[in-house]
Amino acid sequence: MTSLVWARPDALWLLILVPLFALTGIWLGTRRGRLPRLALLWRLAVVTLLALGLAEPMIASGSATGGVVFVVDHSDSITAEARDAADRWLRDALAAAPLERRAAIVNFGAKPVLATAPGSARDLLGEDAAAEVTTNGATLDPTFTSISAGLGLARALPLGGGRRIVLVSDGAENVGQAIDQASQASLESVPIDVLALPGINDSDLRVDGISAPTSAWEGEPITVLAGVETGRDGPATVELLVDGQVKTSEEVDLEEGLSSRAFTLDDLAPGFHSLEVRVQGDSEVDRRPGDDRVPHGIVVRDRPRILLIVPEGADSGVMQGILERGGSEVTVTEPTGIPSRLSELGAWDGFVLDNVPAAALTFDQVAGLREATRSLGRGLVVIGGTTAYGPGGYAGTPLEDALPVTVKVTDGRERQRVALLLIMDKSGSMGYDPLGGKGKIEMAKEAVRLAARSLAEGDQVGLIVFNDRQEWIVPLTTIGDESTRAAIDRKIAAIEPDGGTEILPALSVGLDAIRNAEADARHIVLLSDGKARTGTRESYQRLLDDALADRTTLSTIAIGEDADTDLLNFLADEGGGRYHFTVRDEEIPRLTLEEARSAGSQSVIRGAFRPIQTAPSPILEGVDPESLPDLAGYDFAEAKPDAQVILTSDREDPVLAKWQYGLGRVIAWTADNGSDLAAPWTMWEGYDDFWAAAVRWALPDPERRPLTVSTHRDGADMVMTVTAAGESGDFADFLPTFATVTSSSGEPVVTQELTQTAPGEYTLRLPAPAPGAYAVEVRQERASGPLVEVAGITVPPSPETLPAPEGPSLLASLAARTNGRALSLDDPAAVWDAATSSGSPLREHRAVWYIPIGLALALFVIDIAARMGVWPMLRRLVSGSARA
Amino acid sequence: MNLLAPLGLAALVAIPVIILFHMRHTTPTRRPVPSLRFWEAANPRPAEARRLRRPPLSLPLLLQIAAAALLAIALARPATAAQLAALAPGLHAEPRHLILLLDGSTSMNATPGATSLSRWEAARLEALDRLAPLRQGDVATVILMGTRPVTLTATDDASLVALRERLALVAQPGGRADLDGALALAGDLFLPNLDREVVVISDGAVSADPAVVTGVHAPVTLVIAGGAEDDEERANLAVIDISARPSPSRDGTVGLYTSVANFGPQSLTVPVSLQGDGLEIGRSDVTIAGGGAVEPLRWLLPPGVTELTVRIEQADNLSADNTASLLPSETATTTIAPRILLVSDLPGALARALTAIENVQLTIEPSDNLAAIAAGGYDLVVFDRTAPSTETLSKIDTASLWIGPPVGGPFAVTEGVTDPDVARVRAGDPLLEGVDLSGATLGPTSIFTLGAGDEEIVGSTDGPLLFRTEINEQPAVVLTVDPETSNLPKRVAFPVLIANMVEALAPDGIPAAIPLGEPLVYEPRASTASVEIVPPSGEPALLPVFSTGTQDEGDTATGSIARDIVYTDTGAAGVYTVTETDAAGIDLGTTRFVVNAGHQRESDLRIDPNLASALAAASGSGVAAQREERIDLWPMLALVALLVIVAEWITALWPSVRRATKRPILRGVT
Repeated sequence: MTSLVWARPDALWLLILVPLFALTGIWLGTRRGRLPRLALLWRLAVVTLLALGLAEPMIASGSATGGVVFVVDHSDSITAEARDAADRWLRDALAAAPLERRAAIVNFGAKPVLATAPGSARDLLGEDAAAEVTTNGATLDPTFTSISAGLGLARALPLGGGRRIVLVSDGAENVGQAIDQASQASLESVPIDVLALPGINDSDLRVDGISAPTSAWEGEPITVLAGVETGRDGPATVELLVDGQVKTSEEVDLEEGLSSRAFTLDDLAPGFHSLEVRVQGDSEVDRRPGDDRVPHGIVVRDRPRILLIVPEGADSGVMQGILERGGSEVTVTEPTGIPSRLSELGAWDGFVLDNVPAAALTFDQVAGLREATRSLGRGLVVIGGTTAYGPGGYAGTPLEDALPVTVKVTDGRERQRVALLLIMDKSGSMGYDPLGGKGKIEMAKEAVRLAARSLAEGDQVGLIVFNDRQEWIVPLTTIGDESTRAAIDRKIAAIEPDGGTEILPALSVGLDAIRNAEADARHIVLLSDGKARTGTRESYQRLLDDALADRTTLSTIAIGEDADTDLLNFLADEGGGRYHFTVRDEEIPRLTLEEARSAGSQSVIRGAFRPIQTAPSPILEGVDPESLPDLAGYDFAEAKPDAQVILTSDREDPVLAKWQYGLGRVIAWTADNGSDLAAPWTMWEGYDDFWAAAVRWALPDPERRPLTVSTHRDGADMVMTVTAAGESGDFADFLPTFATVTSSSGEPVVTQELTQTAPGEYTLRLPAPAPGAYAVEVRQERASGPLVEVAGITVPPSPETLPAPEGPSLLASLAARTNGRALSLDDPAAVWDAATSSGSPLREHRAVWYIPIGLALALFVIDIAARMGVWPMLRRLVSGSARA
Repeated sequence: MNLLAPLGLAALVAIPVIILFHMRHTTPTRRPVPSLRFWEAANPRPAEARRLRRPPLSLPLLLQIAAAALLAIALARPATAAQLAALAPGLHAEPRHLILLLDGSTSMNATPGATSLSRWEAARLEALDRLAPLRQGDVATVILMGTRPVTLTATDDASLVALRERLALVAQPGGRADLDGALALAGDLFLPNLDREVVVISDGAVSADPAVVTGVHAPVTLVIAGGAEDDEERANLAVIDISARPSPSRDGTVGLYTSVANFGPQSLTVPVSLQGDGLEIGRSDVTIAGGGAVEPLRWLLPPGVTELTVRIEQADNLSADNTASLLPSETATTTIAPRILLVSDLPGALARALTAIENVQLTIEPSDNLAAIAAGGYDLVVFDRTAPSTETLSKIDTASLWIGPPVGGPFAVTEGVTDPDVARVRAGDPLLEGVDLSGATLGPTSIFTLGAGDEEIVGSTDGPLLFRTEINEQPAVVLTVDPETSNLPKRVAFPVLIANMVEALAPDGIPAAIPLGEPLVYEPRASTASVEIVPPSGEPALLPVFSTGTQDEGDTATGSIARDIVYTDTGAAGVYTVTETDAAGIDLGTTRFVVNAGHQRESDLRIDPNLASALAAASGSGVAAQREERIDLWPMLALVALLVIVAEWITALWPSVRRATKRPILRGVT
């Protein structure tokens, strides 16, 4: 529809000159004969045309109805088939457009481009609607989807007030917020119709993702778990590439759907490695090669170095072997060998204190261990025993500060009452001494005296002596004042050796008696130098089972080569106690006293129990809690509020507890290393794994270093964040920090300084390099010198290669918010069924002012000619030439 | 001055024609006489009568020549630069497309010392002034540049009026001005037959990429709005960073990092205060070098502070960025805790795992309490080894989590029971983040069948063990195994898995902070009917939660529709309060988020020295601080020509006028 409009209609007021000209012309000109009538007409025409010209007439053409802006997704997530279908649909829609309808086409990927300027919808058929180079030369970037940007351009296009937007997309938005554009379109009453295209789905053979650590210790098994998705059953090749070389290749028959493939790496050398999982299949199931590989960067660090600290003269072989088999490099030292300077302690990644008494350590050593844990993030494992925790005097030391448990010592309320029964062999051989000394009986009597004196008031002590029969010398007696101990001494003095050796009846009598004792801990110490003539293992076993059920433990001391060491060893094992052997009579009092002290210690809870798992933990990963062996006791402690208790005793006291202490991790094991309290554990098949897992947990996480690097992708950018911890365990602030990114082939990508953005946090934003694994060397200038850390980062493939199941939901939301419709590929003409919203449409205007102005000039000349009498002359000339 | 239609000069041929007319020897005059007898002797020779003479330098001739010349030159469309534009606005003859890029960024809040208008107000007046000359046929597009650009368009007289009215009232977008994005958009606004002109109205504290400018393919004019260009007038202090993190030493303290910038020319020592929950808990005098230097600050805070504010206690040209607030993360994520309904007859490990998740409201109901289950109002319903009736299930309009669903529930099950082992895992799926299923022993379970659109996350050789699906068009996750028949509850994987599933299904919280001018987009809880947001100004905005129920199902798109709230008025810095209310008007909870104005680029009020040269990269640009509009002169020439014609008309008729006026006098004499 074409019409004439005036750009400057005010100028039409100049037409008022026309009657003025007419009046003056008639009055002063034609009536007086001074002006030909024709000249007056010409002059009036001139003035009229000039007025019209000054009003700037324009020819307006175009539709009287609103337009439709097609916003077409050209991102990589649209498959070729879907794009072809969309192109066909668009052509059909334009072909079906009513004559008067206008349209424009916006294509978009990461950014929008105007493919065709607004014009008659049918005229757009002749243009390349799929153009990825816009009318102004911009090029489409298909590596991201910004529906928001496409809608933004569609809303901004000057089509006039009435328009609809038709969004043709899979809805797989990964840049911007289209819902915000819908909100604005809704306010403008612009409906958004949607045509949902199929996007990336799970039908193509592809690597769905891989799961692997970003850092690991050398020798630590690294599990790379890959998910492989396929749309149909068929063979495929799944490969793991390390540093660009195929490490493992598997020919697999994949079933439709998701499959998992696990690869284990345990031979990666220290340093950065680029991993990649790749899948290949036939072209029918593997149509999109862009989703066939997923990279991953990993840094392998040197084997963890462990400092194993054992008491002076103790055997470290068992624990050392366990740790070395667990992949650690172990240095064994006695307390005197522990450095106290932090810089020297930093040479180790973790420390294991194996039943080490605090008294054996200097204050500087203990403080150093604590600081190495808290500030340097080293691991600390503290194993209990008879000289650790309470017995070892940890209470009140810096070591206790680092522990997840509070060491409990006698404070009255917590004190436990002990019942100690000594069963002593008084057979004839006990009085024999070839060297003419006091003989074993005297040593044993001395041992009983010492044991009785080592117990505290309120404890009970008893003594049975036996040869062929048993005799109570001291019935279970509660120790009171000194007179009680004196009475015991007197009774012991009367013992004389004679007769044979019958252990079973004495043990049976003793167990019957102690079972009824009012005590928290019941312990029997059996001393013998002979062989019993009666009793089978089964009979002993029954006794001991009953004893353990009553939480009574039994230790044995075999004296001399003639002792029934097998039996005594058996009794101690099954009785949940310790077995001692000595050929030196002088050892008897010490061993007995040790047993008495151990039983009487207020910080060692004796009695067999099965540990109870109270919290899940990677330390017990794969362990059935029901399969855990019994413990014979533990050091009494109490969990601190922030500690995580994994195993408890039947009294709910912590046996295995852990916590984070500053930057480091600490494990408290209140039983021992298997020499006594945890002796049954040494026979457990999971024993090595248990300790390996415990130490591994305590070791500094290879992924948690003083400088921790993380990255995420933000559209076309990569944002790197470095979290820095100071040497005191606090924030590392205001320090120059630089990052050098290197490709897996060793080519430097970028070196740049990071900017601090939070306490101890530095960030760097840079254009994302090509998908792949990259090594990052972070250098932070510190007062103590530069701190350098190497980390592996992964730049994931564009999200365009991944399924976006939320796409249809987004499209539905966009339409619903704006009163739009869901269109179908089968009905392209439906685009035009709905009216556009109200508003004036955009029309094309062509200025034609020069026509009236030009005509005015021409008529002006004619007017002059008329007034100058040129016309008669011309007529004469014309007629004259005709006559001639 | 240029001639846009030089061919029009051909019309100058009218001048010699007119002169030729005047060169004729006589001018025949019609005069009545009583007899021709006396004229015979006076009969001139015809040859002499036809001879041309020199043109007489008469006034009519001169006026006629002037009028013809003026009209001929007008037809050649002379155009000149701006100087005359102010005198004659709108003297463009061809329709044009004026694209105004109006800077609405934070720096436009500045009020230069000598004026009472802020830069934004000055820029808006300039824009209105630019729009005034537009007339029928012109097209105007105004792009308000902020973090969230707003586009206004007018294509006819009526919409131009509406555009001007809207521009006079529109709120400043705030935030960062994306000039490159706006220029790229301007480059895409191509309309045939329209002359495009892009005008950037800004304070100059914005950058442009010459490569983007080149793609505009239209002249770009820069107009500096508001204030002088000297550094003193553009000096500003700003808090440009604020963030907090718990100390890595895990002693409970929180570190606050902030940085203060001085964009003035001189070094300054300014007092900076720190307030926690309204009380001053820190203060220090900070010396900052001039020229954009940044001074970082750090405070160690006691635990438990819920709101922190850092303030520069000195006035400057832009006050909005002198204050920055922060809601420490432990209190800020959301206090509108998702409401979870656990339907369980034997709540055990599952209840413990749900309780352990921070910031959730857990309600436990037995499976026979159908009324409670169907009542709704929950953000997530967890079915623990139970399934409601079809009727009850149809009333559940929120996300659901199914643990060990029984046979007969809403999920398809094939015959048989399996002792499952984990055979397939979707590595990297958010549901499995931090979940290690190795070593998990799973009890016997029914063999479930995936429906169309369902997504398996963990599968055994016989069927799925964990999968995503939809129930009543709401997302659902199904864990097929019964935890009580496995060792899952005793493993760390279990609470982590439950937490992941709740996180995936329950609505997200509101972010603690969003950039100035960026819209707040979030999904409220299922039972929320309306959301009230109170900005720092105190004027609340009530936002109804989008509901599909209000749509005409026959005409609108169908499918799962997000209920996102979009709140756009975040152009003011400060703390915003969000309150959700259910259909009965009951408050469901309140949370807050922070908008800060300080920014390294936006707080720098100085003119980007490279801006002018960057914009000059546009084709045909006339870049200057003053207007450089080219105007058509033809209307003026045509108007003058009309006046000349009037004068010539009067001259031509003047003898008659003179006689007419003399006649009465002569009569009087005779």
